[in-house]
Amino acid sequence: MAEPALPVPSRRPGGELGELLTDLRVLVVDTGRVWWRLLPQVLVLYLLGWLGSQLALRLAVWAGDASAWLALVLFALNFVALLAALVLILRLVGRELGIASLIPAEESAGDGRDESISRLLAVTLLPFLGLYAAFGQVTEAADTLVTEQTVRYGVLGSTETVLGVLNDAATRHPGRLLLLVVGVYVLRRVVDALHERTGRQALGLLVAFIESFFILLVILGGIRLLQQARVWLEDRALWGWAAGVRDAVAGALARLAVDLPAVLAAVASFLEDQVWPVAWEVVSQPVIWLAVAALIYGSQVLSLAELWRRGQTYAERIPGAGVFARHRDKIAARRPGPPPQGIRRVATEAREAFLGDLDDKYLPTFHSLRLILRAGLVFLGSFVLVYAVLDSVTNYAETALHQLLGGHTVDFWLVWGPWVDLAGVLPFEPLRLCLLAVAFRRCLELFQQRSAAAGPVLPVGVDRGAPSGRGAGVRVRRSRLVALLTALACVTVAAAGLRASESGPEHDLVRARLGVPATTQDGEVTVDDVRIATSLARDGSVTDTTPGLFVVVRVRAAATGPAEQVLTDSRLLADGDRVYTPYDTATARAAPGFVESVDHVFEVDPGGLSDLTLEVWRDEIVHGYQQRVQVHLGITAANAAAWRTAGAGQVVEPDRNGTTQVLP
Amino acid sequence: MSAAGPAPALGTVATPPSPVPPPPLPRRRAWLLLGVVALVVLVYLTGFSVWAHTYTSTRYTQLAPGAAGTRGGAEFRLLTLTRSAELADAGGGEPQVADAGATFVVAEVEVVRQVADEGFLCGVDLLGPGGRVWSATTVEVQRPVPSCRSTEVAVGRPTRFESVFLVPERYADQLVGAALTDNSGPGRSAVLRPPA
Repeated sequence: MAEPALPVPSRRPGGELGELLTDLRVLVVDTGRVWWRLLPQVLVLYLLGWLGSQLALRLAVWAGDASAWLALVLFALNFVALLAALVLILRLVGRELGIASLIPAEESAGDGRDESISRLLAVTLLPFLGLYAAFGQVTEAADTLVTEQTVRYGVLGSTETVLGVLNDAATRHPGRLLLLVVGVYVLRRVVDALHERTGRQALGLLVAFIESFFILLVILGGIRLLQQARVWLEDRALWGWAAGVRDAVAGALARLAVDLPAVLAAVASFLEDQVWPVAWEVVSQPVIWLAVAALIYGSQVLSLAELWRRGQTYAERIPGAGVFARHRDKIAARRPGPPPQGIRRVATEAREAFLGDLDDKYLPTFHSLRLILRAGLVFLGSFVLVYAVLDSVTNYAETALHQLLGGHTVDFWLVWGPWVDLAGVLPFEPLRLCLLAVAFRRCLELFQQRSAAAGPVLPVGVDRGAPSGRGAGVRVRRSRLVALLTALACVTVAAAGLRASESGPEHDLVRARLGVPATTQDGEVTVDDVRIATSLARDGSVTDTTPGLFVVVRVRAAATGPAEQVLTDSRLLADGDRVYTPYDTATARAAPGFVESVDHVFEVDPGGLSDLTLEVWRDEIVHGYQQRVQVHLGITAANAAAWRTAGAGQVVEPDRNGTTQVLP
Repeated sequence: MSAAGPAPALGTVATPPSPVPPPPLPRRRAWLLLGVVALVVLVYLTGFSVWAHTYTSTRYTQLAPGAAGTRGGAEFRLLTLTRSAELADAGGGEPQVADAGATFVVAEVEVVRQVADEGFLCGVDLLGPGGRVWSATTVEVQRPVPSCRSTEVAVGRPTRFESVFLVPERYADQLVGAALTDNSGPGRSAVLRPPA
């Protein structure tokens, strides 16, 4: 027997803070309750989706032996499997929450998505794929495929990876690649049209599959085409003229003591480092996810076809937030009586081919987004906050898991990668999906309460009879201001929390003191013999001189176990986040039973000598969470001046080739 | 909090009777189903890890003394495996002396390329105790037998070469043989031993 739907709390008096607390309580408590109620079902769906995506990935890797194109086609199934599970989980949770009962009949989609799972998948997978692409998850998954192929064939192997084939196609045969992209797009539109005419659900799934392939093709191959186009454009005279104009403007501003490149760099840096992470990660991602999740529940909104038919703007059409578009209107708009003839028919088909995609995929998502944004600032703030808390917990769990497992080379992560991946997402992804469903239900409740408070929906232009007068206007403005400040406070806390959770170490740092061996998975690493000089020598002759200082450090790699100890890269960390890369390459490769010593050289600013820390590691073309050895060089603020003085005019001959000795 | 069940209408729109959802899976059966699915996932994960481990780690198979091993379309045979504290210079110069605590191990190998495989490499490694592997070192003296040069090995013609390894003395008595290390697939790499 079905358990009753979760109760619906209403707004409590107490102003914006009261609203915030109510929303937070609803989001947290209801998410927890519905998660617990549906835990086994949700986990079954998620595990099946995850397993399907994993099998598709393995199939794609194996298929790559025969053809990289076949691998790309099979890889598209990866997304279809995972996203199908997400869609089904959202539907399941939505039913438990009774979301369908909150959507009026005339506003529901009416396209059979509630009755048929395949129909639901067919109409909702496309926006989900678009979202995955926008959030970089498609690129991330493609990287996994390429990584596994690279490991399978070897870096110098003769078999090409998917990326290699697409790169080749983009650089050598861009016309063919463009034709393929257009061809796949047209194929999808044709199958889509067939699907709409026949109503066959299998065709709907095929559309999603082709769409998945199309997105992969565009992201992995189209980017190369764009890069090619940019290179071509940079060779044109037009580009030079544009650069000339830019330089002229910069020169004019320089007379006014304005350094244009510096100003632009500062603005770009501010936007990239401060504004973008908050706007994108903290606010946009949860809101857009919620908007796309809303599509699952049938809140089909106004389509482009309907806009054209009615000749009205969206605002004119929709006086209140609770009004949804009608899918049957869209269907009707696409069935315009007698079949068009000649040019009219061509125009209709062309419009359908180019705008149909926008109509089907992006416009509903866009209007769904508008719907979500009308839920109110306080609700959005609370949702963003809860979403960020969940994201932060996920990040902390990932950090804890990495620290539990420790740093390893790529072989380890290839073998245990799927375990780690599943352990990282299984506890949190179902919770996130439950949160989306609960948040959408809360949206509908808010609309419901607002509609009830505002009375019947009136035609456009008719006064509602809302409270008037100067006092009422001030109260409304003050209320909006408080709501805005409340939402901003939520976003600020969410951003700070998310930033803090993302600051976990990217590597397993093995710290040791100068001259004391640091134990690593392949043996021991000892850093000692720090020397400061202004010149470097080779075979007794000075080869390099610097106006700053050279810091030369001896690194000993000892292979105490059965594996060789390899250290290929290093950097010098200084105060104020300054990082020095090596002046010379220095690689230590010790075979089992041996220790190899090699000098690492850095050219540094004499003013920033204190607290230099050397970091050495084995650089891998493909890597995961790996070990890095960090050693403080013993130069402190107190003795930095003495080091500077001692190094002035000194010449050091570093051991660049390395010295091998047998381990005692 | 409002009561559970159908919610009131939104605005002026009457709420229709919502479709009756199918009865949910009984909780006990749902947990049972989860157990089955979790088991399937566990089997997949275990299978994948076992497969990936065999693919990413090099495993060796020791051949009989004097037996030939194959790799990259070529047949290899270990003729001799000798150790020495110094390498004589065929040109009459000073011998190269091993570092303190280390010794040279010289493997003389005969290879016959059977097919013109693009991936052919003639180099061999030295397998020691506990999976320790040493790669050939560059010698500083002229040797009577040339070192391996993959591009100079003609198809069908037996070619002899030697590989010299620098090994800690404490492992020199525990060597397993010359390994035809092959990381191109999950198969085992052959380890050649000199004739008895």
